Amino acid sequence: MTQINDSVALAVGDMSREELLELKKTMNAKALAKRRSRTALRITANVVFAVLILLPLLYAISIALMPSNELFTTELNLFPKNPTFSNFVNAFRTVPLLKFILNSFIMAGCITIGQIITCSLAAFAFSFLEFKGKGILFMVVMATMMVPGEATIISNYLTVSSWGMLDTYQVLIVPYLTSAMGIFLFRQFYMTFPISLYESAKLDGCGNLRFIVKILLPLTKSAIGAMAVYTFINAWNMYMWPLLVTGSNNMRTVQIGISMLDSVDSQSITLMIAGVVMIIIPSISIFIIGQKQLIRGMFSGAVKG
Amino acid sequence: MKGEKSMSEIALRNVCKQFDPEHYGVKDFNLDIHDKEFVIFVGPSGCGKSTTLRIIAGLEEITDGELWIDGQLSNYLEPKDRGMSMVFQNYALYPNMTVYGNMAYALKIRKYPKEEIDRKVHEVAKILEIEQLLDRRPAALSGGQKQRVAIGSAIIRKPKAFLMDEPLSNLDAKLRAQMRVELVKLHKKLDTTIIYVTHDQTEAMTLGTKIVVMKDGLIQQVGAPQIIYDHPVNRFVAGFLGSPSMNFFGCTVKAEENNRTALILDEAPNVKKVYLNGTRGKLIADKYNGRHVILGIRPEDIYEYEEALEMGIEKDSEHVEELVVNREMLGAEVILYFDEQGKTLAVRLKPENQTMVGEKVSLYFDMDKAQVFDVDTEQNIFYGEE
Amino acid sequence: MENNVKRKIAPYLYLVPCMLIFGIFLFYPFIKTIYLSLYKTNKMGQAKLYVGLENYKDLLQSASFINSLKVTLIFVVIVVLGGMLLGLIAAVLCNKAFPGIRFFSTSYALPMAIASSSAAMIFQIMLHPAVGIVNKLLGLDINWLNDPNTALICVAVLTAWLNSGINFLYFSAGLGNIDETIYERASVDGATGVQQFFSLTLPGLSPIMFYTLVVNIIQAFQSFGQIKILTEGGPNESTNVIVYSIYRDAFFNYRFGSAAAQSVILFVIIMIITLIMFRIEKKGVNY
Repeated sequence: MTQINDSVALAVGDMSREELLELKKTMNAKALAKRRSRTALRITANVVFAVLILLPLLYAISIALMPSNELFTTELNLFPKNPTFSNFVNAFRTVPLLKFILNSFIMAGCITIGQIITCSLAAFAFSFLEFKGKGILFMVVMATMMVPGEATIISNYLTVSSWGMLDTYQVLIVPYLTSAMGIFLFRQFYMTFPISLYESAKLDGCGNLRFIVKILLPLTKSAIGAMAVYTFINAWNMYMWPLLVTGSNNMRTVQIGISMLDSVDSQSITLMIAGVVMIIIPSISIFIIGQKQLIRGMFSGAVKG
Repeated sequence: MKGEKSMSEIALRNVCKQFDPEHYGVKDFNLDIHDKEFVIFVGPSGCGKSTTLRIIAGLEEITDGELWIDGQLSNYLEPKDRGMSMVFQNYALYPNMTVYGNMAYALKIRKYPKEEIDRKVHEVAKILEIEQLLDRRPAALSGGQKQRVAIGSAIIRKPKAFLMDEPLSNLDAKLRAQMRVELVKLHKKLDTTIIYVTHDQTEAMTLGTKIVVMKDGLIQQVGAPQIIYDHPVNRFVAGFLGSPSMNFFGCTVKAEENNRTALILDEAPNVKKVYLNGTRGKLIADKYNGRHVILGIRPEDIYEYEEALEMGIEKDSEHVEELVVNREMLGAEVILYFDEQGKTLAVRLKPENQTMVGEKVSLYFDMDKAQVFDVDTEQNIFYGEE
Repeated sequence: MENNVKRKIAPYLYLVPCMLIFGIFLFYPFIKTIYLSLYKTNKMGQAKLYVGLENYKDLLQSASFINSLKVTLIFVVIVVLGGMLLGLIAAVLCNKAFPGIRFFSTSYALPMAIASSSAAMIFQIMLHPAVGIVNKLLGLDINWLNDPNTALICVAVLTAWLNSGINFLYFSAGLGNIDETIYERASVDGATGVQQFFSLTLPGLSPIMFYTLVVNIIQAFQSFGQIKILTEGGPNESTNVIVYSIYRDAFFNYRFGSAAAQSVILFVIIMIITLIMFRIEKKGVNY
């Protein structure tokens, strides 16, 4: 905006060569400075906002590394003065954290693998095969996305408890072995393949299962990657269902187990936060690693969904 | 500030745009654009024409050189302060606004009073015959309608210049032909500078008062369409303008008696010769006797025997007898295709012509219209000498 | 002949695994919930006494449930507005490339990987009256989670924070869908950056905004973990959202019938809101 005032109205060619160079140099410098300040502003705004968003996590890490006696002071203690890993160590001692982590891994892992299998099988049928009622059945599957968890969780609890399945790995895993979103995701992906891929395999005498395993799945790597990240993280983070159906230390998952550390005296706070930090690490790591896959998978269809 | 239309003189001096160390988008661009001119940048894809337009608009930075707008050094001037209007290739209509909103936007930003905006929008809509579309959204418009809205949005202000980036390229052929006529009318009515970019040489020939032919970031030639057509500076310009394009032949020069210079077509199964007379012939004989040159002759400057006889040019071509491989009947003319030197030779003939595929005809070149190009520099040897 | 039958059945076989799970753990319990809602049950959850719509009548007349409805509504509004605002700001900040943008866009999306229960425990300490960073930074001495006036807001802010990650991803995708050239045109037309934001960017986001809104609303209605950990529905029921009320009714009061009825009501509310939103989209969001 200031350029208009600064530039001199001259006839072209009235300026001497040196004057022209000078004028260009100053204008160039101004434009450069303007651009740099814009970038600096953007970076600053981002830093401020990122700190705001990451504050809970940063704070948690800070507390987790703080020896418990440092906690109760009136001064602003953002950073631990004597950082220590003792909280982490104690967390493992106070509750069977290792078992919880193992349980969660098994649960989340099985759910992820299970969903990939059931969803890719179903999506295969929906995309490559013709059969009666295909359209209706697909609508039915999509309709399941409309049913919220609360409408079913109580009855599910009653079901599994009447089967005596409580407090086992199965009860944590089985109800979540499939997902409508996964079927939708895989189907969208499969639809981008030409039907000739399947037909030529059939002509070669390839059975359906063989086709899926040897040809289809290797091509679906990115969708599988996206889904694996998403499903694992969600399974790892599950709270309500494990809360209802597991009771013993043996079977507890990390989210429930950690809340066992929940108490508000100074000794336990740093302990608890250390535990929380530890169980957040796997999910965040997987997220960071699989981020690109996940985002690509989520938005490979139309953005409007 | 409101409603005034300014004179505009735009000058580009040694403008360069460098995208990366190896790649120049535009190089050494020097041009003066005077008020009310209809200037057209034309050339193949990647020649730098759009880049130059965007530089004038302020959407690209100038790496080197100066841009002067009305005597002001404008390299670093923001687009909104340059007083230009632009029509984009994909129209860039604001999807969430109606046609009315699209056209009114530039005025609304400048805080024009509501009544005035309303008046102007209707005025422009009437000129472009889009009044009935004012309430629609861009998604509900056809290509041609969108294009009119884009033009309407540009002309509603009184800018110093209209910048148009291939505005017709997304329209079907018929609509394009229609719009060409409309644009010429519009230019007269608006009485303002138009700077227009296209890859279509037909558009360039029919629309512009001044065309700038570009290739690989460099200006090849600047001038009025007909002049460039008749006197191309190099082989590229000669071949670029005109459809079907000029025919080129490799030849050897042989000076002969009677002040005639023969051009012997290379690799011709029968001896094929054409002759240059007068000063032109002498020029070629002096500089290129015994050497190779490239002969260029336009399809419309080649004739069959009868017409050649009428024109008196039958003595200038010897044994250029060819087999017709293809025939296009275009209503107002007939185009015959022949194979020569591994390429296709195109000849434009009168619509009454009856020569069919498979026949052999003798062809006669109007050598007064022929151009000869240096093999290495590809420059038109006759350019500047006539 | 046999082969033919095999071929006809084969497609359905591929659907068996997923349909089995859906059948047992989705369709059946859904029906059962509706069924249970018409009964009074015993402690084991078995339907004992058919009462028809009485559970519903009782609920709609009970102060506690009305309170839950109110609390849930306020909660959802704060969560949706807050979460979408955070996500929008983050998306706009990352709209143009700048050095380090990868780091920042990962950070903004991070909340979506964090469990509501874990986040709740962190927030619990953050809001701790004596030790927590919130009071220390603001210089206040409020007992956030124990004050009926502030507890709901705290839980809602936490939930908004959790949602900001996925909102950031949606809005970023939405911003990426906007045609670049209209910004160029706006520059030539004379619009400043701010003007371009309001006349081009925000309207350009309206399709994705609608979708994000629906997703956020449905998510907000289903929030549970953070409430269980932070406030357990209190203090004074000020955070007793419907989902928590369902949980309490079923597993502390053993009134499965009433809990089931609440589930059904919740489902109906979500359905209605979703349908209204789709109706609005058809009429309004014109793009």
